[in-house]
Amino acid sequence: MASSKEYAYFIRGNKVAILQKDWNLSGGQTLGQPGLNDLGSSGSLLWKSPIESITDGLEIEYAYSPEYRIESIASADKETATSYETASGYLRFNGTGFSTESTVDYIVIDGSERWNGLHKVTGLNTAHYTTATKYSGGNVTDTPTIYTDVDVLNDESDELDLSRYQANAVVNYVKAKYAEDAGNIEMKEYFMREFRIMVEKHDKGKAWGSRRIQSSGIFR
Amino acid sequence: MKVQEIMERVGITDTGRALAYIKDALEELNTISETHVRTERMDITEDKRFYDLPNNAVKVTNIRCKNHLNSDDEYRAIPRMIGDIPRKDADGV
Repeated sequence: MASSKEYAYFIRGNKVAILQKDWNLSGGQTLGQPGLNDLGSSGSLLWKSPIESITDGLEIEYAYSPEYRIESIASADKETATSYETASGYLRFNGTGFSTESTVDYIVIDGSERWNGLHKVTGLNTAHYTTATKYSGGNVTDTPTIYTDVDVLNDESDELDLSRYQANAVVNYVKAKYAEDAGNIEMKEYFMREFRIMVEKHDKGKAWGSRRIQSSGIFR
Repeated sequence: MKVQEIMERVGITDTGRALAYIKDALEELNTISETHVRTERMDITEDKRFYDLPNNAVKVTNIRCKNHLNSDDEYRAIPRMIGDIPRKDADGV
């Protein structure tokens, strides 16, 4: 059975810092509480970078912008990369037996530690996909799934992956931006307000019943 | 709703500009109210403090760690730390 651990995080730029509370003090003793030397100003020294490697130990839940839609998740429409590297300053995913169909203009990466999301493809090869994403690091072993059948929001016939009510909120946002471009700030503020009201109303519409606060440990 | 329908409602014809604003709207929408949420798992590496946030993340809604305050391999939300961490980051990233 795995042992219990204690973590905390903070955000620094586009990275998340993970810290682990270490109860193994420098004296070699494993204590259930900090020693005298660790109290006071130096007590926070117990927090340090993770003290052991954990496979799939970190789980990040996040919201993303639905600027694309994966049309098919069939095995014929997805590949698995083995690594990524730089190719003349651009990101390239390596693998074997990649599809080279000319219809592959965009790919969606899933399961990568860094590159999840939409990427424009500039070069197709059975051994690698070169993208238009800038990257200047070294060769990194990573095994994300690459979806190749992707519909990107890039012409008038594309449909938003939103409910009708949310799409109406988007209409207000676009109207606000056009009003702003025209220098009509009053109208811009009016439509932005309508946008926010619609978004909030849509959110509230899904919450029903009384609310309850979790009794023990709000972080659990 | 299709992009064309949005353009007709706004009364515009320039597709490129409309698409740019629609994409802005989708991002703004997700910062206020999450319409599309996903979860990503990554490895925790010994002595490595900083991990890349997912490239397409507009808003982080939860960060969980395996075995945080439990020994049942459960993923539990971890608290946000406030203040400076005096212990130096070993990997120096």
